Amino acid sequence: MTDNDEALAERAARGDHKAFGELVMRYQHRVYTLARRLGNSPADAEDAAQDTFLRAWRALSQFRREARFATWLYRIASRRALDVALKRRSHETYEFDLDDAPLTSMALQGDDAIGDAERRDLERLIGALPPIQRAVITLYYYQDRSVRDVATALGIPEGTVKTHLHRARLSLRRELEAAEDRSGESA
Amino acid sequence: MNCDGFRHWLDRGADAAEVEGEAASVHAAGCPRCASTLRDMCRIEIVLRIPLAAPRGLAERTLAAIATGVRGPAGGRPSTRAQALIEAAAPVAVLACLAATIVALGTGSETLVRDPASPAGIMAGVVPAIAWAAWQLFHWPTSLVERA
Repeated sequence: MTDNDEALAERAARGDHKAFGELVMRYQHRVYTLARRLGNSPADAEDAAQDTFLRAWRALSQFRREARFATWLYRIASRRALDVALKRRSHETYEFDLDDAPLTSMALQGDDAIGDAERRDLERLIGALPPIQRAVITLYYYQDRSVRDVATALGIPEGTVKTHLHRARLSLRRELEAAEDRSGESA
Repeated sequence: MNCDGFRHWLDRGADAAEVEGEAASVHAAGCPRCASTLRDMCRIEIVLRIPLAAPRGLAERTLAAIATGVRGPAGGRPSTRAQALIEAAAPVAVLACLAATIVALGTGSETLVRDPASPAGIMAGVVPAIAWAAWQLFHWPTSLVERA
């Protein structure tokens, strides 16, 4: 049986390296993705992700079970990712790179398969959103659609999260419809 | 439901469990454009749900950095001896504050001005300093964690 995140965090807070290693393995991809979506280059996102885990390790004694471990970690991650992006002044753009492989091949199989070209188009649409909307919509799906957890992770009110989510969806939907119109005209 | 209502439902999160979810499904079944937008929005959700793969070796490098001396959660806490000192400092801080108040309210301040070299004068000067030092000591662990 695998331990839940909070049990691992408790063991890690007592200095258990192995427990913390398990948490790093579980969250490395999501923390890295969050850093990328906040506008960092692959190299900067890697630095931000590593720094996030080092800070989390040092601060584990402050982790309380009032919030989920994931929410607490995403809070550190989003701050670090934004800091790095701001230093580089690269936070306004998110250039998707096909070297950014999806974690699983799930998206590439079955009836709803998403190929490289389509994925690139969809990532481009996500990349066109303002950074805060990218962060909110990314965290929304990582946090099992919990507006409250996204608000806690980003340190903003729930109402603001809802507003950003609505605006992000509206922008994405309009872009998708515009793309459909363009493809309809060219056909 | 018409196309506008369908779009509004999409922008709120396309929750099929909502009352409007069923009406939205019925509308999409008869409207190719809305059906196509819904399909695309679902695909965006798939892309958002699946994280990018972190660079190879990120976890290993992170754990190696921790193993080679990054101060951990235990490092952020004071040693057992320091902890005992801090625990002792709490009542000392309270007692010293109380003593300082009593001395200041009593003859201490007057004696300090009139005869600072007398025992009472020295007490009046030293007790507030002890109170201040004890208070600083009491807050030491917090500052340690904040620095970490």
